[in-house]
Amino acid sequence: MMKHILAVLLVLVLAVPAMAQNGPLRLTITDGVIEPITFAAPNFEAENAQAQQVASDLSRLVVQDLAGTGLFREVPATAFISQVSSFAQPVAFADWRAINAQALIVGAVAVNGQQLTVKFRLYDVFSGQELGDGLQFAGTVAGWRRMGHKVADAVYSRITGEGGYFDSRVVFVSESGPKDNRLKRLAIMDFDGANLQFLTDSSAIVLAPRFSPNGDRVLYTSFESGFPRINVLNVANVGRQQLQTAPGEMAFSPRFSRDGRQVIYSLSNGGNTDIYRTDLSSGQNVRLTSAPSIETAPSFSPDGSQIVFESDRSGTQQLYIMGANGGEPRRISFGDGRYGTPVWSPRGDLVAFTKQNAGRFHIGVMRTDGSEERLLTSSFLDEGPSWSPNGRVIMFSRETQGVAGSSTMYSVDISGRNLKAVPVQGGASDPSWGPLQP
Amino acid sequence: MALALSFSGLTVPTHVAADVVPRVSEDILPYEFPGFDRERYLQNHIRGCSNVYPETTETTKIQVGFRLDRNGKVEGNEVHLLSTDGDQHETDRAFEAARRAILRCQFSGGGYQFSPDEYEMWKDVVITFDLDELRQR
Repeated sequence: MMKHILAVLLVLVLAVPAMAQNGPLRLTITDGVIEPITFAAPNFEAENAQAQQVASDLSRLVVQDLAGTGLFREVPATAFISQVSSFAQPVAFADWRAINAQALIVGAVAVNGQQLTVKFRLYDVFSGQELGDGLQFAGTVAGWRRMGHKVADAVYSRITGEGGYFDSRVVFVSESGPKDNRLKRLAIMDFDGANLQFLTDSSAIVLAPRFSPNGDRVLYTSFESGFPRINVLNVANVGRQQLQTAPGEMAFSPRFSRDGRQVIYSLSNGGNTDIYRTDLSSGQNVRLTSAPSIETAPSFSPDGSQIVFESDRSGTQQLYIMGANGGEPRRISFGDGRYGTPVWSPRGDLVAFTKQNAGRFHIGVMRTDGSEERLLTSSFLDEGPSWSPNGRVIMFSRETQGVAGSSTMYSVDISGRNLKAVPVQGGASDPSWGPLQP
Repeated sequence: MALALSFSGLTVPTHVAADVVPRVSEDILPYEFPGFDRERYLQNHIRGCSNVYPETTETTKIQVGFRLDRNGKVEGNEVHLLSTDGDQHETDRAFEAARRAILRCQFSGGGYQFSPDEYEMWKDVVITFDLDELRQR
């Protein structure tokens, strides 16, 4: 970035003699509008007959991903002046400008047996230029959704200047049965609810699944033995290992370190709950807190140097930050009500949390020094935030009131906009949003 | 698994733009009228095209520069980042939004409208986008 800036400055310095005597026209923009970026995405070209259905489905998925963010709005095909019948066809930018499409996505799909190839180009309509190079993805027909998500991620990233989140998965607790006898099992799905698979059966209660940083494993709390214990599950083969704890100890609320080699969690022994860290390869434990109060829900900062957690040491449940090796924590939440389940954002600038105040539950964010608290939601019971890989969206559980109440997962933008239910069949809670897939 | 690769470019001719009128926040006095204020004209125009990311958390102020041709169009559609006080992530995001606003807005009326006789006074433009103030809206 600095290199780029210096190069531009150098060009400007060299150009000074050619510039106007009075210098450039200078102004400051401190005002703007909030509106979705408009885009047109004509159906991707099917390069052979076998590709027709998937070309249509894949282009719709790209549109659905982008429009679903609330940051983009599709210009419908009925408004098109130009038709794009071929990927290689020159772009008539004037026609796309006339319908106020700021971006144009053109793609083509080919199917050869079980092999699928998708290529696309993205155009910045108002500058009349291609935005980045064309990209091609190759995979299987069965994996067409992933390729659609990858196209949408690339488009999102090029237009907004930040990473996408569409080609990612969510692990969560799938729920069925009445409230007083609820069956729970681990499940995994694409971020949009597609490709649902179950990872455990519902013979034992499971809670709080947490993805590893690269998405290959999941930590969760299981009541198989009657006591809460932490399991590490391999997502590919569903193999499980239990984190060793002494008899009588209860282990819960686990989360991986950013390198995936360590686990931080709560351990309850003799009525006291503290935070521990275990090295997964050596099994060595380190106790990080030693207060008579309840310390739980730890979450590492992205650089691994700090841990945010909840504690009732002040008399009410509040958020604290301490070093990765323990030490004196500092309190960061000071508003009315109780704060819990803090999760550090992937960018490191915010902490998401659950807040309970005046009979309502909220999902909120605050800066890591506790300032600029913003409540994003409000309901009978919202809890358990989890960040999208790019730190723009938060997924959480919402439970409805009453005996027939059920749990549903929702997502919300960190501005509080675009609140919507995640489409999953049956009850769903405790989401953990995994990383972008390779 | 899926493999991503870049492939070489096609030749894409640029067509003459049709007039599109993005939202302009208030009436703007044409340059032929006495009292025309170049800075205010451009400011009003561009802010109507500036899309704000309200969830921005960093205080990022960026400065961009570009040269206009005699028709009031951005030369080569090139907008340069001159300075930033934000990190890479915020800068990329802010610069993309600023670039898009400037290029999109130039099509309102077929280019930014200034007196051709005073070209030397307006051909080079430096704009500061203050995201910290933008996101307060």
